[in-house]
Amino acid sequence: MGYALTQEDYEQLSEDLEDFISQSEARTVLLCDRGGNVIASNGDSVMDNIDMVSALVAGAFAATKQLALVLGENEFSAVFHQGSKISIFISGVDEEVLFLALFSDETNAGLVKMYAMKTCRKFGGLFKEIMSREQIKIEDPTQSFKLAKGPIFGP
Amino acid sequence: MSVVNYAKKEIQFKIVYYGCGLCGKTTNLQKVHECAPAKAKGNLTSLATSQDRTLFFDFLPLQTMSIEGFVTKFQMYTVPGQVKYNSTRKLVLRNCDGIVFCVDSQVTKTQENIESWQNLLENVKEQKMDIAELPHVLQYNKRDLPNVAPKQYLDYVLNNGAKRIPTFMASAYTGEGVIETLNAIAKLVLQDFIEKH
Ligand SMILES: Nc1nc2c(ncn2[C@@H]2O[C@H](COP(=O)(O)OP(=O)(O)OP(=O)(O)O)[C@@H](O)[C@H]2O)c(=O)[nH]1
Ligand SMILES: [Mg+2]
Repeated sequence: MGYALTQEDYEQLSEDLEDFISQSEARTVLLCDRGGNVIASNGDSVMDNIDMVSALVAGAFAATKQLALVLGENEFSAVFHQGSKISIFISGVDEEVLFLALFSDETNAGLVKMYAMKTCRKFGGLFKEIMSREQIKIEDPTQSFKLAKGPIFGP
Repeated sequence: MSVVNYAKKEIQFKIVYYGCGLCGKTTNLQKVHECAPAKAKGNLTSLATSQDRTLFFDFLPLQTMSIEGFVTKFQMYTVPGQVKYNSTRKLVLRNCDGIVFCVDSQVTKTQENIESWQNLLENVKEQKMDIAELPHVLQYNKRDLPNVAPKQYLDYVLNNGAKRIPTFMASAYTGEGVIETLNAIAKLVLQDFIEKH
């Protein structure tokens, strides 16, 4: 169970997120999985509470999905939340990954959406590969995961 | 479902506190939040009703260096225990790496504990996970109260399988046993991860 991002994956993702920010003029972008784990992010206001934001985004999107199912729709593939100063756009990349863009009221929402869709399509293929890798390979074979000594959270 | 990021040297795990309504899941996370060293913890977020019952989840990010060379993040969640929130419990359970099943030790709660445990097994199965493969511990909570069932009795009703589940006596209210439970589940999750990699 689980998945791993290699140095290469991460660089690719980071580059694409940076392109997205510069093209769409969004302020921040975040990729997380539907379980609430952070995958990658970019932008000026990279949130201090990024773990919490991921947990809430995954929760909000999951709740909206349930709502869609109840109303006879498979999933609302994208969700907008409009605020007075900032707005967010959340979209599903695939079965496992979510995309969040945060943008200010000076930015064109249509532009954000268009580039978001484009970026999500691109990520679809990449994550399909990441998620289907057989075994997580440790790049340096002499290195393996080792437990540090002592109690994990103190006595 | 663990996430390893080799570029950032970071590993994330998700741990979920499960159990019947009012058994003390939220109180556990509050105590952990209170006791954890400042640099190891983020903010505690609670999506709750006006009566402090969990509506969606509580969330607390924790960070340690328990795997050499990697920042190890534990994303801690609680589910809402009230029977009517089952679809929410399923959502919170998604991709989890370990479970603390919190038991309300009061004699009068026996049936509710059993039903919640059955509910957990059903939900785990529905998500194509196998409880035998999923690290989990039992916490017999509220030991500070007078009307609690003896440990042997709780073992008899909840821990009667061939493979005994690690159990911890606790009072989330006083904080007793809370960190022990956390250390135990974190350790199981880490061992499981290392075994599988
Ligand atoms: N005496 C005593 N009271 C406890 C203990 N743990 C929790 N409580 C109390 O039990 C009540 C419910 O605790 P919560 O932590 O909110 O329970 P919960 O499991 O999160 O409940 P839901 O969110 O509805 O699922 C609160 O009043 C707590 O103070 C304990 O160890 N001893
Ligand atoms: Mg609660």
